[in-house]
Parts: sequence; C-alpha cells; structure tokens
Amino acid sequence: MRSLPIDILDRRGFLTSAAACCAVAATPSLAATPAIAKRPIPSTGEVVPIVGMGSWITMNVGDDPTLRAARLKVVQAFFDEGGGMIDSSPMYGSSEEVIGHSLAKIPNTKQLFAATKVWTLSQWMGVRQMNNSFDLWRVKRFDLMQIHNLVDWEAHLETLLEWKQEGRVRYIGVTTSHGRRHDDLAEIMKTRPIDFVQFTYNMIDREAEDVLLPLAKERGIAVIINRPFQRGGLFDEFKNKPLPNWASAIDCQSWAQFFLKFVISHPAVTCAIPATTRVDHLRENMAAGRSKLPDSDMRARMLRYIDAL
Amino acid sequence: MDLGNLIPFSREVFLDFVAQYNALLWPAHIATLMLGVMLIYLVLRPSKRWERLPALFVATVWIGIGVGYFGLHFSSLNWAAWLSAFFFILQGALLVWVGVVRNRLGLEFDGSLSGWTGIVFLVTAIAVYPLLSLATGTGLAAIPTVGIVPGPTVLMTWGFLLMTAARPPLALTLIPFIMAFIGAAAGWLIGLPADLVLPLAAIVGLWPVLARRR
Repeated sequence: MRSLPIDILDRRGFLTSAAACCAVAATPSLAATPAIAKRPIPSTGEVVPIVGMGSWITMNVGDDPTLRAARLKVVQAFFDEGGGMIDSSPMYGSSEEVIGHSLAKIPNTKQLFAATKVWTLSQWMGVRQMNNSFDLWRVKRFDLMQIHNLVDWEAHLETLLEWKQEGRVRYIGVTTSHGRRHDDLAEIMKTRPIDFVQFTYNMIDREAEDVLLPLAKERGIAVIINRPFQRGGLFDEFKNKPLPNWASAIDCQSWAQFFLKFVISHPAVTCAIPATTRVDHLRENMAAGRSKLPDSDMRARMLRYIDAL
Repeated sequence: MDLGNLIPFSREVFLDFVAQYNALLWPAHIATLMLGVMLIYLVLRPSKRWERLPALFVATVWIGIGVGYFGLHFSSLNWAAWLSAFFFILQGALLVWVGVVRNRLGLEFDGSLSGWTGIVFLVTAIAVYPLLSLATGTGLAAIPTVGIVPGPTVLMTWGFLLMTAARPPLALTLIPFIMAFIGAAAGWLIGLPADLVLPLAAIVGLWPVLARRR
C-alpha cells in the first residue's frame, strides 16, 4: 500500500490514523448509538450535553461563501450528533455572524444552548456589544452571557443581573484564558451570583484542579472548559506517540478522545468546548461524550501515561 | 503574553481574505506597481517639478490601506485591525504634512549605502517580497502587492525614507518600524514566513536613516 505523505495530513489527522493503528479499540455499534452524556447546571438542574463547540479561529471566516458553507456543515453535524452549547465572543472576528448565518439555515437547532461573551470597556459599550451579538446570532435570548477575560466585569455584571431578571439572558458567567487571573476569578466565584465559569483545563494545563474546579463544585457553579486540546498543542506534543492499549477500556479510539475524555470526566466539569473546522473531527469529539468515561483511577492512569511519554 | 490570543483567524482564512481584497481592487495593482517603479525612476532622475509626488503616492497608499484594507475589510476578521487602521492613516497624514505640504521628502540618489539599501528595499517590495510569498505557498490570488496590502507597502516606505535628499523626521520611521514587527509576528503565527523580511528591513533600514546628516 502506498503511504500518504505526512504533509497532506494535518496533525490531528495524523494522530487519528496513528491511533487507529496502535489502539486495540472496540468499535461502537453504529446501530445503537447512545445519546451524548449530559451534565446538570447546578443553579437550576437543567442539563446540557457534555461536549459543546467553541468557535475561536474556526468560525472566523468572514463572508466567504465557500468557507461559510463548510462551517455550516460543521454546525449541522454538531446538532445531528446531539450537541447543544455553542460558545463564541465578539473578540472572535466574524465568528458570531458566521454562527448566526449557520443557525438560520439549520432546521434542528432546538437543542441550541447559545453562549457568547461581552468583551469591552464600560457598561455602555458592553450593552451595545451584547445587543449587537443578538443581531449577529439572530436569537432573541442568550442562554448564557459571559464576561470575557474579566474585562470591566463589575460594570457588565450589573447589566447582566438586570438582563437575567428581564429574561434576556438565562445564565450569567465569567471567563478567563489559560493561567490568567485565576485568583480574581476565584474571588468572583466566592462573592458574586454567577451560574457559569469558563477557563482552560487539559491534560497539560491542570492549574484549575487546585482551586477553580473544587471551588466551582463547592459553590454550585457550572464549568465550561476551553482549550481541551491546548489549542492543538497536545496533538503536537504527542505526535508519533502510541495510544495505550488500555485506552479501549474507556472507548478511546484516538488521542482526541483520550484528551477530551480526561477533561469531561472531571466531576466538576459541565461541558467542554473543543473547536474544529472539520466534520469528521467534530463527530470524533462528540463520540467521546457518548461512550464510557474514565473514573478517578483511570484518570490518574491516563496522567501517568502522558507524564511518562 | 500569548500572542496567539491576538490572532483570531487561520492562515487559510487570511489568504482567502487577501485574495478577495485583491479581486476587489484589481486592476489598481497595475497602477500601484507602476507608481512603485516610478519611485525608483524619480530617485535616479530627480525632478524639481515632481518633487512632492513620491511623498504624495506613499501617503496615499498608507491612508488607502488604513481605510480600505484595515478599516473597511480586515476589521471584520480581527478587532485589532482598527488600531492598525488608525496608525496607517496617521502615517499617511504625517507623510502628507512633511512631504507634500512642507516639501521635505524630495528624492535623491547619492550612491551611498543608504541610497543603495533604499533601492534594494523598493525592488524587494515590488518584486522580491511577492515572489517570496508565492514561493512559500501564498498563491497567485493572494499575492501581496505594494500599495494594496500592508507588508510590501511598509517595505517600500523604508526604501522611500532611505532615499530622501534630507534625513526624514524620526517620527516618520516610528509607525513603519512598529508595523514591520507586528506584521512579521502575525505572519509567523499563522505561517507566512515571507513576512520575516519586514523586521529585517526595519532593522537594516533604521540605522542608515538615523545616521544620515540632516
């Protein structure tokens, strides 16, 4: 058989192929596809699918019709696979507009859990920006509005608490990027009535295990995890490394599922939001949420394996 | 600070954007390329009559890129484009003031290292940089053209500043210097290695500009 040149495969594609060769994985029956796991939002008990979809870079395609059509297929596949939460931000260029464009063309968006952010200085600018997000997404109500990277968070929180009362947003959250302002976020979690937090957590970046994840559990705050693949860094890091044979015990068929299952199996995590431009990767991500998740012993084993590589 | 946080688009999307922008402005590329060649002609054959023309051309493309490229188009992909738009328009305004209104940016080729470096930069902006981009996978539709997109325009401006008869005010070097590094950082992050020419030109060009006698 002729081998494919490496440069025509992307890094994840390569890993998927390698993992398929190396893992002794049980192939799940397509005929009996189980539903994706859901986790409750502690403040209400409402459940959301454990794997959502981020939009950083991937949905920022401007008004190019070809690229928009490609992203529409990804969003369509997301709902076909039982997805719910789509997360975006005004910081992500045209992403909100592209998501809105896709949602308008897809009939089965009943499960949509629309989550975006406010990311600007001053309350007045925040109101303007959030109103613009309603137009871009073409929704009348956001399920979740988050304060992005804690920017002017006190001013925006005041607005959001009012809007929650009025029913314009259902839940309120605060986000931060990897490693930034965890102390400030923890303080907000302790003192303010927020429903969600969003931060980075993956097999390499595990600072959140120290304070944020236990605190969220204790305070009854839902947790969204961004960068579950460390923005692709995990694929780079473990390129050419074999998936362990025992990964089949938790239904892992690829590194992507290995990484994602580690994140979503943390008991404090409500939803992880990997971003992708490819339908096959999206299906692979969603499959991680509908098969067996590792218990605490297996999670420790997964970490030991990664650390040893 | 994670620079990746500042680039919310992929290489594929960026090149697609440039291709669309090129298509929108075509055939203005022919005019800007001819004006770029005209700069070389005017430095080799200086004319009192056309003394202000080079500065007017360079100022016009800075303002055009600030308004058109960054303000009207690229801002849909990247919020930071508004900052670039501001600085490009500011640089254009400075060039108008110093070169057109005060007529302090007339060209002259004195055979010095500075002059030759300027010629090399101009040729690079007009021909080498686009070819380098093509060679590194940009594709013909997204080819960066001087006066149309920022990269080669910044490069051309360094060439222009090196060939003025009198040393240009240092304020005119500040924005091209910063933009060279920002452009290269963005290009590097999304996989456009040709943009590394920009900071190289800024570093090589700054010293002759500073060292020249007024």
